[in-house]
Amino acid sequence: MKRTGFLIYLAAIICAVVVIGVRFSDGFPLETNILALLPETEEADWVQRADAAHKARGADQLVALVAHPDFKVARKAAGQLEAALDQADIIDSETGLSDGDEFMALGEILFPFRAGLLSDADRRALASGEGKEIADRALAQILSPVSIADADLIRADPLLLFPNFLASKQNGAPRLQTREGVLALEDGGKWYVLVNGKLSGAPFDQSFQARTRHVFDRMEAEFLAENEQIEILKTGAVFYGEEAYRQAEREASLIGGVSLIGIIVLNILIFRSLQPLLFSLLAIASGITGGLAVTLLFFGKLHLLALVFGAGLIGIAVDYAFHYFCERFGPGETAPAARAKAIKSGLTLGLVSSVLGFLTLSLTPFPGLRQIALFSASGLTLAYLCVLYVFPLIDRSKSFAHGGDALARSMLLYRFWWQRNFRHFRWGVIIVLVLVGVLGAFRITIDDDVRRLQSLPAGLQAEEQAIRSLTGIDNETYRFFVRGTTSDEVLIYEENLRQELDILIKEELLGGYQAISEMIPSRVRQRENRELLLKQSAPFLGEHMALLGLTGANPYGGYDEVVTVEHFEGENSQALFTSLQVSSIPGVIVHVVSLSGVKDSERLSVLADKFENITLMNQAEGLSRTFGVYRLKSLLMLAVAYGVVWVFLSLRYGMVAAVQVMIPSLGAVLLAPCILALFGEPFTFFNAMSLILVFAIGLDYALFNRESYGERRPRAMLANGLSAVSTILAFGLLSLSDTFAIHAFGITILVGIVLAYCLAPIAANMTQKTPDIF
Amino acid sequence: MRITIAVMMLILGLCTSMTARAEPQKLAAGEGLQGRFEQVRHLTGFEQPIRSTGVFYLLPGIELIWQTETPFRTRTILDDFGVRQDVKGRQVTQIELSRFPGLKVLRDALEDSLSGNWQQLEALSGHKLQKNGDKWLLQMAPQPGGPSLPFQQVNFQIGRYLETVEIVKEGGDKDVITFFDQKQAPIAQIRQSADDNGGPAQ
Repeated sequence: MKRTGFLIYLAAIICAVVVIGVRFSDGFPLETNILALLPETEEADWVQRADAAHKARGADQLVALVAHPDFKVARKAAGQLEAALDQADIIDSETGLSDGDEFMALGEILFPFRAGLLSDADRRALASGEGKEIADRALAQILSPVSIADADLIRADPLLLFPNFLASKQNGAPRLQTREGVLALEDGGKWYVLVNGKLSGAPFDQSFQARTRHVFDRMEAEFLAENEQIEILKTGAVFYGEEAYRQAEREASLIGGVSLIGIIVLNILIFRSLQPLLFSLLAIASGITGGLAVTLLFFGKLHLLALVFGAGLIGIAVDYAFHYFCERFGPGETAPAARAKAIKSGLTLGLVSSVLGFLTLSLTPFPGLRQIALFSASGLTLAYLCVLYVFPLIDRSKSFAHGGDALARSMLLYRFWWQRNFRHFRWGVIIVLVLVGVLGAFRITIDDDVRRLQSLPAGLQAEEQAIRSLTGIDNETYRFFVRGTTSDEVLIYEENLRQELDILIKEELLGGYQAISEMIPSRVRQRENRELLLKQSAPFLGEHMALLGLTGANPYGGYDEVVTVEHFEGENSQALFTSLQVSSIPGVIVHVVSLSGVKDSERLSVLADKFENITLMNQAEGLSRTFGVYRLKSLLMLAVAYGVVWVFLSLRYGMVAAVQVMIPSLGAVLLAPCILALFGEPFTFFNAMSLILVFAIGLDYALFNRESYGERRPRAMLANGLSAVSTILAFGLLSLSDTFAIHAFGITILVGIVLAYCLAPIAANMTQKTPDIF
Repeated sequence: MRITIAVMMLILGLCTSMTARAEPQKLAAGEGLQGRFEQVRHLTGFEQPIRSTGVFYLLPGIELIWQTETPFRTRTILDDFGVRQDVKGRQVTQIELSRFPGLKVLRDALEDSLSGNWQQLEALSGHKLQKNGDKWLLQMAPQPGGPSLPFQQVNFQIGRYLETVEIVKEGGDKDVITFFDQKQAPIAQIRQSADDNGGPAQ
C-alpha cells in the first residue's frame, strides 16, 4: 500500500511537471481578465453571444492622447508613440479612416439615396405641411456668408435636406477633428492628438500587456527627457489587465512570502529543527505543482485569483505536514511509518471533507472560482499523498525530546470545553457568542454590487475619465440589443424603439442614443420619406428652384432605390456599423442601440419589456443581480455540502455524533458573517463562497479532534493550532488585498478559522476511541 | 496762369500724398462696425448668380450679425460658438464651429477683415497687404498640411474699410461680397442698431 501510494504520487508529480512544462513553453498562461470570474448571463443565447461580441470589440481597443501646448510638438510625439506601438506589434498599423473622413465617406455612400433620408425634424415638418419652412431654411443656408453648399449639392438637393440629415446625426459626435492628417482637439491651451488602434494581441495576455506597458514607459521617459510638457493619457482593457496582474503579483508575493516566513518561524519555534521545514516545503511544492498542473490541464490557463489562492494554499497544505511532525512529540521512539499511520484516518477524513467543500465550490458557474476549487482540491490531494507516502520514505528522524510545554498549552482550549471547572466560563462564552450572533445577524447588509469586484486603479480611471471628457465620448453603460431575422426587420424594430427613446430625451430622462437606423432607415421608412417629400414639396419646390436659378425636373424624383446595411459591407465598411452590428449571421441579426446620459433605468426596462425582440443590457446591474442570485445559490450549496458531509460522517460516527463533529464548522460558518457585520463588513457573494472554505477547514480541525484519542489528543491539538496559525497567516493576509473579492475571502476566512479552531474541541469523543479506518 | 498751375499742382500733390497715406482703418477697442453688403453667389452651371443684400453689424470679439434683406429676410449670427440662423424669428440652423474648423477660419477671416485687424490676417495667410493703386489687397489660401478649408482662395480688397471679399471655392463656385456705407461706432450703439433692425439675437 505504502509503495503503491508512493508510485501514485511519483506518477502524479511527473505528469504534473510535464503538463506545466508544456503549458509554460509559450509563456505563463495567466488570465487577468476579472470578467473571466463572472458567470455567463442567464439571458437568451443570442443575447449572450451578442454581448460577448460587443465586449470583445470594446476590449481590443487602445486609445491614447498625446498632449502639448504646441500642436506640432504634440503631433510629432503622437507620431513617435504610434511608430513605437506599431514597431512593437502592439496595434495594427492600419487604423482606418479618421472619424471625419469616415463621416465624409458615409455621406458619399448615402447621397444617392437622399430622397429617402430625412431628419426626424424635416419628416415632421413635411408631414405637418410646413415644408415651406424647409425651403426658407435652405435659402438662408445658401445665402449665409459662410455657406458650404456648392453648386453640385444645391442642384441635386435644393432643399439641402441631406446636409441637415447628416448634421442631425452628428450631435454628440466626438470633438476630435482632422488636422494635418491626425485627429486632434484643443482644450485648455493644450493640443491633444489621438493615437488609437486595434490591439494586435489579446488584451488579457500577460506578455502582451507587459510589452504594451514597456512601450508606454519607454516613450514616457523619452518624452520627459525631450520635452517635459509632453503628456500621455491612455486607456484600454490592456492597461487595466496589466495593472490587475501587477497587483495580483504583488499580493501573491507578499502573501506567499509572509506565509512562508510565518511557517518557517513556527517550525523553528515548535520543532527546533529545519527538517520539518524542508519536508513542509516539499508538501507545499507538491500541492502547488499538482494544483497548477490540473488547472492548466482543464482550463488551459490560470486565473490571477487562482494564483493568489495558490499562495494561500500553502497554509492548508502545510497542515498535513504539521500533523505528521507532531507525531514526533509522542512518547518513546516511533517509526516514520507509524507516524503516518497514526494520522492517516484524520488526514483522509480531512482531505475528503475539504475536497467535498471544494467540489461544491466548483459547482458554481464562475470560471475563476472553479479554477480555485480545482487548484485547491488537486493541490491538497498531492500534498496528502506526499505527507503519507513520501515523508515516511525520506524521514530518518527520531522522536522529539522537547515539546512538553507546547503540548500542554495546546490542551488549554480542550480543557476549557471539557473540564467541569470551566463550566461557568463556558456558558458565558456560549452566551456571548449567541448574543454576538443575534446582534450581528440583524446588522448584516447584503451588497451584490459588481463594481466592488475590483478596485480599479485610481490613476488609470482618472486618465480614462480625462480622455472621455476631452473627446466627448460618453461612457456607455446601458444599451439595447435589437434582434431580427433580417437587417431590415431589425431597422424597423429600432425605429419603433427610437420613437420611445425620443420621448425620454424630451423628458430629459435620456441624453442621447446611437443606432444604425438613424443613418439607414428601414426600406419602408425610406419609401415613406420619399413619397412624403415628393407630395409635400410639390407646391413650393418649383418656386424655390426658380429663386435659385435652377431649372429642370424635380431632383428628388426619378428613382426608387433604397440604401441598406448591405451597402456598407466589404470595402465600404464603417466603424459606426461594425460597432453597432454585433451579429450578422443569416437569420440572427443583432444591432446595438447604445445609450448615453441615462437618468431613469426603470423606464428603459419598461421599454425592453414592451418590445419582444429587444433586450436591455447593463453590465453592472445585470451582473450585480447575477451575483445576488449566486450568493443565495452558494449558501444553498453550503447547506447541501453539510448534508453530504453529515451522511458521510454518519457512516463513521453515527448520526448524532456526526452532528457533534460538524458543530465547530457550522458554528464558525454561522457566526463569521455576524461578527463581520458588527464591524461594518457587507455580506457579498464572495463572503458566501469563502464560508465554504471555512466549512471545509473547520471540519478538518473537528475531525482531527475526533480522530485523536487519549495521549494522541495533545499532538492533534498542537497540529491543529499550528495549522490554524498558518492558515490565518495565509488567508488573513488576503484581507489586506485591494481587490474586494480577495479581501472578502480573506476577512471571512480569518474570522471563520479563528472560530473553527476555538470550537474544534467540541467535536472530541470523550468516551471511546473511534477505530482507525485503515 | 503760372499761379493757377502752381495751385493745381499743389492741390494734386496734396491729394496724391493724402491718397498714399490712406491706410486701412482698424477699429479701436470698444468700437464696432455696421454697414451694408451685397453678396453675389456664382454657382457653376446656374443660369444666373444668386444675389442677396442686407446689413451687417460687427461687434468685435462678440459676434457678427449678418442680416439678409433681399431676396428674403434672414439673420445669421456668427460667434465663438458657431453659426445660428433665424428665419421669421425662428432658429433654423445651428452649427458648432468646434465641429467645423474650416468654417471657424472663414468666420475669423471675416471678423478680422471687417475689424481692420490685418496683422492677424497677414499672419494667418502668410502674405502681406499689397498696395494696388489706391486700394490694398490680401490673398489667403489654405496652408499645406493645415486644416481642410471650405475655399480655395479668399481675396480681400481694402480701402479705408474692407470693400470686397471674393471667396473662390472648389469646382468654380465663387462668392463676391461687397461692403459699403460702413460706419464705426461704440459697440453698444451698434448693438442697439442691430436690435432695432430685427430684435436681439435669438
